[in-house]
Amino acid sequence: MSASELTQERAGPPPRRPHVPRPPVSLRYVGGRLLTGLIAVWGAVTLVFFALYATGNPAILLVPPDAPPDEIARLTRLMGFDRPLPEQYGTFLHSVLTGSFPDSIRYGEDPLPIALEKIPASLALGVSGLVIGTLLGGVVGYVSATSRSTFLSRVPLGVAVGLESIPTFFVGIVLVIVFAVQLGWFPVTSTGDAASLVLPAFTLAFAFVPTVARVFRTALLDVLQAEHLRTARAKGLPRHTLVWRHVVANSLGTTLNVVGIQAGVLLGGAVVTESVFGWPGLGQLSINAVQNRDYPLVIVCVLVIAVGFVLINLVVDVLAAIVEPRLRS
Amino acid sequence: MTHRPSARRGPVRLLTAAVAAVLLAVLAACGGAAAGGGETPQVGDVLRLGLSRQITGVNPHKGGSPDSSGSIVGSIYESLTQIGPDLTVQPSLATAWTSTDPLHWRFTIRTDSTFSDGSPLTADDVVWNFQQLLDPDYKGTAGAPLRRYLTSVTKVDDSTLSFTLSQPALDLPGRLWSIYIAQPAFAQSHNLDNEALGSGPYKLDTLDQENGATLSLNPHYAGPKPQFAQVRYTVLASEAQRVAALRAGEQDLILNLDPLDLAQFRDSDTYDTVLGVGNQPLTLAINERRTGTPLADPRVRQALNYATDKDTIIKSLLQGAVTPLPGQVIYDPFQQPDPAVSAYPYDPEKAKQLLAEAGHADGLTLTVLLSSGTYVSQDAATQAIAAQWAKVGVTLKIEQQPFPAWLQSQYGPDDQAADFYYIMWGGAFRGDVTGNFGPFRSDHIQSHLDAPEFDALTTRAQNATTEAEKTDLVNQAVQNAHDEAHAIFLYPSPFTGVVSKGLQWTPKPNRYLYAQGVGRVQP
Repeated sequence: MSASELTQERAGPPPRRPHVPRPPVSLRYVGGRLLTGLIAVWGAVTLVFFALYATGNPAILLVPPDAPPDEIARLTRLMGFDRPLPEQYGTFLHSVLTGSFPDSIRYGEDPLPIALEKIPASLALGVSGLVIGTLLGGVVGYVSATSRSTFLSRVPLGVAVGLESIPTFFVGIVLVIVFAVQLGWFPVTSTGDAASLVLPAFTLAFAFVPTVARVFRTALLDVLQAEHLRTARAKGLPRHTLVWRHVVANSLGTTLNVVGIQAGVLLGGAVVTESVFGWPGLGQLSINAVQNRDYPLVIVCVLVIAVGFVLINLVVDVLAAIVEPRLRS
Repeated sequence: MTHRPSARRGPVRLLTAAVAAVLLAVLAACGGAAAGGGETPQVGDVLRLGLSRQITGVNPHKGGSPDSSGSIVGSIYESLTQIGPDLTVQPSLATAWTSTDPLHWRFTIRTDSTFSDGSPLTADDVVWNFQQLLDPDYKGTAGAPLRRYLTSVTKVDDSTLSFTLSQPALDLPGRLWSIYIAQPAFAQSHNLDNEALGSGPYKLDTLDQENGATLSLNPHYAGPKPQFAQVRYTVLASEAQRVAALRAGEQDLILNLDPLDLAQFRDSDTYDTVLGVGNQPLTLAINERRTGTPLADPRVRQALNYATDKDTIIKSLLQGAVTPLPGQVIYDPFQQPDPAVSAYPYDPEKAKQLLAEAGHADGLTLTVLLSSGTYVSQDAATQAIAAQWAKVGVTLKIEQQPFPAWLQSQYGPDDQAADFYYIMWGGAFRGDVTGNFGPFRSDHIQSHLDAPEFDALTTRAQNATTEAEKTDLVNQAVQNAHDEAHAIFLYPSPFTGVVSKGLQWTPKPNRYLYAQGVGRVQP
């Protein structure tokens, strides 16, 4: 051992660097995700723009049946749909950048406020559905993973998976028939209030339940076989501490990721549910805009949904990174 | 060996309770309340009317389907004339009219009409509205038909208007029924697609184009006061939604139900059912112009008329609500059919013979295009027709498209159009030559017909200067269309509805559901 080494040893361990808490995700990561999201939004909107314009002329839906044959051409010209497609696309991109969209054909005004106005209703439905679906899926997954009863460990999950194979519109109609028509507990026609929210929220939730249940069950089973759990059990930890702190908490990371992916459909993915129940959200607005060939409104709906999707996914990724440090890389 | 911690009682209990609740609910459902046995519909202060199509705005200058926007607009605005339940033309803003010569008309208008903001509706306002509609750069589509025959509208005095035409139009008063009058100042400063200021019985309170609208009384309305102070129109675009809303007692009046769905309300304590004859005929519109089509041969078209058993379809699918079209697109009681023309009888042997004469003894394959969910019973009806035609060697392929694509197909080139379209169209009032026969002319915007004789006869009928001349030309046109079989003549559209027993309402076969036309049953 050299003198210098001896000196160092005598001096004790080197001084620790001061602890600076690291953010769960770096700004560079968030910026990168936002840039990718921007490209995705541009791609989605461009795709929809050309797809819509390739399907035909919206003027045909506005022509009265007793109009002369040149009326379509007149309306097409008045609405600017007679210009070359690249020129229309250029105008459209300019309008996106300046925020001045061409008027909705059906509403006769800027389509952006019309779409934004629908977001609270869509969020209310989406969040309700997601919360109910996550809770139900969590209960089903937990019971199927931990129950000693063969019945409880298999039947609830089987029912949930069975529900997955039933189309959403059918689930919605059955719920309407049972709980609105026969029992009269909830209204058939939506008025946008809390009572009108229950059936569509459960319809949407049923789509989430199987996925959440399966993933949560698998995660729980993984954790239940982990070494640290045996140690914790050997230490004589109380059951509720064992279950909540060591089993459930350690299974949440993967489940949250799946819930996050599902959350991306909150804004526009509830199209069928909103249409079945007449829920006044963005999904219903989008589908009706498509049916009426209201191209400006369709594109704005897609834009809003795409932006929402990107933002929600970003938030979920950040949350997942906080809950599960391994995902930070 | 892995030890699983035992399940906690809480989640198990919760799950058991949830399953029990669902089972109870399903059992209760299986017990089943009677039709309409949910909440007993009380006809309250708010009149609840169901619409079967999406609202496309409330612009009085853009027309609108009777099943959606048209019904709302007609409750808010007034036009010079209106159409009664028997399809006669009746006074509205105009109290009288006369033709001074074939190209000039005078209309006398009321001077007491008032917009819902209290401002008077004047002759100048009417003139301004027509000027807008005649402007070729105006976006209001209701002006398109007007520009074909109307040159100008001018004010003679405060209660008299002068109409100058470019071609005679004996039925001019009827043609003006859907030209609604907006207040000029409001129209120029507001978005008429979403906002309204009219002189009709009601004013628009709220509008959600996706779901419905609410109306309340126009306090300045000059006519008889409607019985309901508040009205709520609700869009119920699918048959399932309409039936569910009725069964839950959430609507007072809904039209356009499948005739087969009416049965569940027939014994209801709360609803009456309506099953009658609509004012527009259902036909298979023919593409006679596709290159090399066998349908260019009138014998083939006649054969397919003979091969169609209309009576069986009506009996089995339409609850016997109507009778087959009398070999023409006008029929009793709303129009004056030509008594000399009668329906093609169901005669498969005759059909086979005609097909053989036309060189198609070995059969044919043709296509019919349907608009998804547009006409009641269309799927079953076309399947029945396909089965009937199969008996004479004709294979009918059934295709469906959403309404816009279906419409675009009709506007497209002849060679890309389908052979047939299952379609309902026709006139709006008695003697409506343009509406009754326009869709069956070669030059119609959706037509693929080749019917020069029919075109010439209907043009002359439109321009006739006496009723006798018009009737004679209409009969000649009807005979020609029948003989040449320019359509597969099916049956009048069934007119269906379910109405609360607490309401007094005279059904309008044109399906316009105006709020002012609905009252309460008087004790």
